[in-house]
Amino acid sequence: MMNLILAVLLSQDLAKDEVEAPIKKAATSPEKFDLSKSGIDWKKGLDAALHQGKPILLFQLLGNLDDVHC
Amino acid sequence: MLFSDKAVAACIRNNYVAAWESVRPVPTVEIDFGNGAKLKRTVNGNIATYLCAPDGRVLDIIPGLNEPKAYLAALMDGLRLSEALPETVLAHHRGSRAVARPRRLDRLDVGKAMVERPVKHALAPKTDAELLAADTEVNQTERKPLIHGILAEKAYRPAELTRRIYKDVLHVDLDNPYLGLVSAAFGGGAYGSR
Repeated sequence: MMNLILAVLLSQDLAKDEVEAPIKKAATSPEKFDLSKSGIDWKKGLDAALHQGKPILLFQLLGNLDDVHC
Repeated sequence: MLFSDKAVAACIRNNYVAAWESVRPVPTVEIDFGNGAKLKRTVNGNIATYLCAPDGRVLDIIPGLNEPKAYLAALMDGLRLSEALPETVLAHHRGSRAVARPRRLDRLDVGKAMVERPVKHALAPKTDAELLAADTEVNQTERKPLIHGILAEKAYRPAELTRRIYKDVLHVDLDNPYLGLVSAAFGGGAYGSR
């Protein structure tokens, strides 16, 4: 039974599916995220957040904050 | 997206000054469908959330993508650390460093994992929620102990840690021009060695 399952799966070009799956998924999502929806006032850079009497949450990422798949 | 979660957003709005910074441009993939339609997406990105005192001293770091519940718990822990003395924060990380869990053995057999992963995925494809849960577990069991070890050394500012956190914890070498993608992109795939 396992051999049959594997034979079927292998015939479906799994490597191609592995590469394409994230791209197919991304196609259903918007390109940019609307930051205002979170209601959070995002400052750009740590310096803009210093010495305001509250702890700081610094979100560090590759790309930009409004990129959905950053 | 994480910040769409109402509890997470409320905690940040009410208790933190929120800031963001990009450490470098993220690689993008553009697919031209040949009919004028194009699709552009980012690849190989990753994130780190630094929780800092008002003067910029790092209190804690939340690595990678996490389930909202886990992220919220970490934000609350950060608030407690923000009320503690610097020496107490160091002691917290030194004590937490000691409880690091060993790396899971099934992650060590990389070659086997790479062959089997597509088969396992086809047999039991994971939902986004399951993938996020898996990421959260990795963040807590493998990455967080590394962070405790780093923050136990001394009080740091984010800029002092960026490259080290991305390289040693998130396994993204910011100084590598291809962010580690080069072997996959240019290796030739199954035909590369012929």
